[in-house]
Amino acid sequence: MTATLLERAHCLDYFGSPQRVIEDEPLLSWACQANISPPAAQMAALREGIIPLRYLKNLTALKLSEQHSICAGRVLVCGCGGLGGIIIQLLARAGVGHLRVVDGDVFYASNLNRQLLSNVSNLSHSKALIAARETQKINPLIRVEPVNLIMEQRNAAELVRDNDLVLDALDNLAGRFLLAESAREEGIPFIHAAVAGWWGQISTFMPHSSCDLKSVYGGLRSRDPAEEATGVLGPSAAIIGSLEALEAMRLLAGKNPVYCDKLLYFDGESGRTELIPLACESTD
Amino acid sequence: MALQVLLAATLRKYFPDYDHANGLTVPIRAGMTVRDLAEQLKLPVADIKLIMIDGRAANWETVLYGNERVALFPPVGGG
Repeated sequence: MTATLLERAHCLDYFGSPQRVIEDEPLLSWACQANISPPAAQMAALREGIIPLRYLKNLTALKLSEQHSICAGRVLVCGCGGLGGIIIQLLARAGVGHLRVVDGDVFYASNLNRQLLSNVSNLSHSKALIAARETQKINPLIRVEPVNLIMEQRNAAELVRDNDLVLDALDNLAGRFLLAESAREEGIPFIHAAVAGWWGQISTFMPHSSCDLKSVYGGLRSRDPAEEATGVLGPSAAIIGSLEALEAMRLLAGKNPVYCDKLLYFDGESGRTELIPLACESTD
Repeated sequence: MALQVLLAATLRKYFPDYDHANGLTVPIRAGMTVRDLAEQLKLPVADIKLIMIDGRAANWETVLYGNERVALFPPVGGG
């Protein structure tokens, strides 16, 4: 007779309220015996009012039902570099049940200043495969699906499909426009973010928004060489990636996006942030 | 009559002494547009996609009267 989830859980006092919690190992062994996946097991626990101990500190910022929604989430992160490295780790720690992480590149020494998944022992290794391997070490309750490919016209729709959210962590405009267009065609919210030097920006485009990436970039389809030459500072990527992860958690939890049809512009040189209303045009 | 102009990212290279905290103080004539202002400052209009005046979205044809806070942002594209 296998122990039930409730028998494997224990109760603790969380700021004056009793809360049932379960640790990773008993939850994973229950999943194995019940022949269900770890993401399904964490959702089963939450449905019984048991929170995996690793998510305890998400309470009470999140309600148990919101944590369940996040665990049920499927998110595409396109790019496993400066933005992607922080997004993937934060969403994995938050408990997002399924992360599809896409990148066709490998780590280089010049990535080490900002790309949190890179280290001296994985240079020249696939960013997507490293992202999946390292992230599963952070959270074995979720599934991380690596896609070691460059997103292109021929595979974009397939990569985007079946996700609840699409996150832009790319480093080029052509890829961003393709990703945004694919997300809109599939009716999936798209969170755009980009960084350079001391600066960064983030904006959210819902499927029916009248704003799109043209509201940010106009007719630009490639990066200005002078902008590219500013490089990227690690904290700029970490800050914008963190804001992107937070916006993703809001949407997965069923809350309203805060950057819809607005663009937050972060200026790390002056310390200012500006929330700029975008001038939307009809997309017809 | 003058207004405050805040520049971001690559636009700062046009003003080596740019003050990050206060931006530029630029004398203007009332009735000029944002485009006139950018041309007066010899800024590359094509690089600027986002314009904000006193916290509101604006465009190249928005008329200025003085005392505004004009922020000009070139979008960035790295990751």
